[in-house]
Amino acid sequence: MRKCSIGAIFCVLLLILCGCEDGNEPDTLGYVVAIGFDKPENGKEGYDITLQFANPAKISGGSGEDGGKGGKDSIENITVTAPGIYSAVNVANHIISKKFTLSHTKLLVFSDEISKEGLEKFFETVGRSSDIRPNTYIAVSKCKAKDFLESVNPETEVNPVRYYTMIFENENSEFIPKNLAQDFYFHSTSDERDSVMPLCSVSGNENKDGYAETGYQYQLENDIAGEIPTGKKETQVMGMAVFERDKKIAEMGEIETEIYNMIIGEYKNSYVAYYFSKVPEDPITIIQQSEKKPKIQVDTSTDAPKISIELYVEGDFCSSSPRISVEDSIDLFTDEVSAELKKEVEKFLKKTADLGTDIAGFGSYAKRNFSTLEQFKAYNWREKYKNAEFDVKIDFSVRRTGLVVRSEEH
Amino acid sequence: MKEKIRLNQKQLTMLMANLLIVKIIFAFPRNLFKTSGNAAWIEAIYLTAIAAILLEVTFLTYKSAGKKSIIQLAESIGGKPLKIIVSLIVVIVIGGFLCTEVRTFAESVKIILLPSTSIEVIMLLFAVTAGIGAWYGMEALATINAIFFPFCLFFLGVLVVWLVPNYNLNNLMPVLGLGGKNIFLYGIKNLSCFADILVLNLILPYCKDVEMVKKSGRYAVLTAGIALVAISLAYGMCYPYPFSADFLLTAYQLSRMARAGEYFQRFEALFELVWTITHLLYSSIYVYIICNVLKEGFKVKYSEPLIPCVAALVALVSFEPSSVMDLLEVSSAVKQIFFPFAYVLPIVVPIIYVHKRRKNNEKM
Repeated sequence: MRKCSIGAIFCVLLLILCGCEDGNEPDTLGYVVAIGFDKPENGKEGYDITLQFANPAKISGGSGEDGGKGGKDSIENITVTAPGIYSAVNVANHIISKKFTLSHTKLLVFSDEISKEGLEKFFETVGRSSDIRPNTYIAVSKCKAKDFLESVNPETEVNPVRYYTMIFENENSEFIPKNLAQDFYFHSTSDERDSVMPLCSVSGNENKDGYAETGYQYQLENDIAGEIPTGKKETQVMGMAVFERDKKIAEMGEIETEIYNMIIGEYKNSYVAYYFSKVPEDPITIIQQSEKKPKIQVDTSTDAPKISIELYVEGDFCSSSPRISVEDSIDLFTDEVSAELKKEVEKFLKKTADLGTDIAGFGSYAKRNFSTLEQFKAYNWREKYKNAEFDVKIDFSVRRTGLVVRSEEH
Repeated sequence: MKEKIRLNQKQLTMLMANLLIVKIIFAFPRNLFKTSGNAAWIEAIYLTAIAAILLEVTFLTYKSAGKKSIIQLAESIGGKPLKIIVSLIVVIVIGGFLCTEVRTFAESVKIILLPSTSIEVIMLLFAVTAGIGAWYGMEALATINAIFFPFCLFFLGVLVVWLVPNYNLNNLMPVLGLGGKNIFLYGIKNLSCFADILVLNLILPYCKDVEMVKKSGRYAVLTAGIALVAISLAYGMCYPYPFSADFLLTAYQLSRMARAGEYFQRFEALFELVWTITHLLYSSIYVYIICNVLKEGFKVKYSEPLIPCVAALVALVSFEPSSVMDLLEVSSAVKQIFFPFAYVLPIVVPIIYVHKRRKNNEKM
């Protein structure tokens, strides 16, 4: 009898302690991989929220006999009008026969119009929700966020989440800032720095003529997403939207974004074409890398903060001019590269000061000069940054020359 | 309690460390950030130092008062009435800590793990489990705790190291955060985090060796202090102030941030396991101790029949706050009102006892 009682209690415990109440079968869930936010047309209240969700049956290895297809078939989109993220999920739950979950959401895309109005309320949700991951990617769409999401076609990936990961977190894509939802949430209300977001769009038909007259990334345009000529309609992610607190105030192109990544220490490596005065017609391309974080010091003893930055950059030759041996003029080349890079960095910093937005986060270095937060607040960093003076030093060296070392004698 | 509890030093140290660390690592650092801003780690060092000093002062009284708990000493001083009063104070103090911690845990479980399950069910399961744990007694609990708790510490260590790439030293600046006054004066109220050290005095008479108890107390405070400083530093470097003061569960937030490449990102699953087991052990130990204090205070023959009542009472009292906001307010008030008793009783009661004994000796 005693054994039977223990057995019965054990069986009951098995039922109530296994957490089935909160259990969900995977095939009952709709995994939202990206969310787009647009202003509704006709002046309606709320937002047009596009939920892009994975279609597991179409992902390779899915429930079909021959596995899934991947590509565009692996994702579906639904757009509803709602006042916020979870209201949209609630509405969508009544349209699609799945229970939507945001635990696999990889990307939040905001339309240009919404980002100019302010994003604070969206990021309040991001900070509060235990569903949305802190490392969710964020972007501002130059076109409608819905159009961007509907144009996404992960041709080379079978998993749509991996597609976004490869686009937004690729170590070799220095033309976009690596900013995550949680970082934006912190920076958008911070007294010490502002934030940025990658720009995304669908490629248009109009292409700009000519290229930017800069020695750094020589003969390359300072494009933003949507301006890159690709020949077909597809999504692009390039450049960045600049924010003051939670409102977008400007845009920066690919070259400026690369400089931004260098200054904040996120730059890993990229191919950079440099102007060289000995062969102006041939860009010298190096694979440029930064193994060491930049050294940043901020002097706040005056009302115009003095910011000194030292960037450590090195490069290996990838392609050179057939007309001359750059190896023999390496000192001149190094000096010119340093000068070009310095000019670009100064230009970038001047632009941020003019905009009055400390996107590089110098304010967090300025805090070191104060002993309490009260003193730092009293200094009013945001205002002072507009008068900031910059002292840029570039420590550049060419390390390797590829498989060839040319000399003038040949 | 039995006449003798056969706990070795490791078991006693881990048991005390559990009682101290459970709230220190999971939710408590938020209070430090609220008081001191990004200088929470300095406050953590400061609090550890004060707790260690108070512990040493308590140990000094052991010399003259002997191997007696404050309840036994209260009986020697003022007979049964005083013993009952001191027992009730102790029950209210540690019961207060337990109730707020149990509800905080249950609410957090509902938020992050079981959103569809009602809070009543979570609390009921928790109370039943704590009761079953307490039924098995201190030795069983201490043994399981000694096996499991090192894993909890290891998990914490791994988490702190894993997050190194996310650390931003500038988040700790300005170094004094909200100012010296906040850290060193207003910060005193956060000394409640070490108040559970009172338990060491309660189990003192049942341990074989006073020196072992002293050593365990020191190690436990040191371990808890290191954990508190490490978590405060890690959390402070990952989450800038004022956001660091907003998040409900410190260790959970840290575990959400931990990732290894794009494949292993849900480190919080491990956190939830560690968190649940340490809390269940914590609650079981406290239910057991409350029952034994009641048994001793009211001279009841057996403590086991009290266990279901105490577990139910803890669950019922925990339900009192109507929302998480209420809970945080009540929790803060309970800790601030009760924690001085946890430090003062083990010092004052032995001093009165020694004074009275001297007086009696003088009379004789």
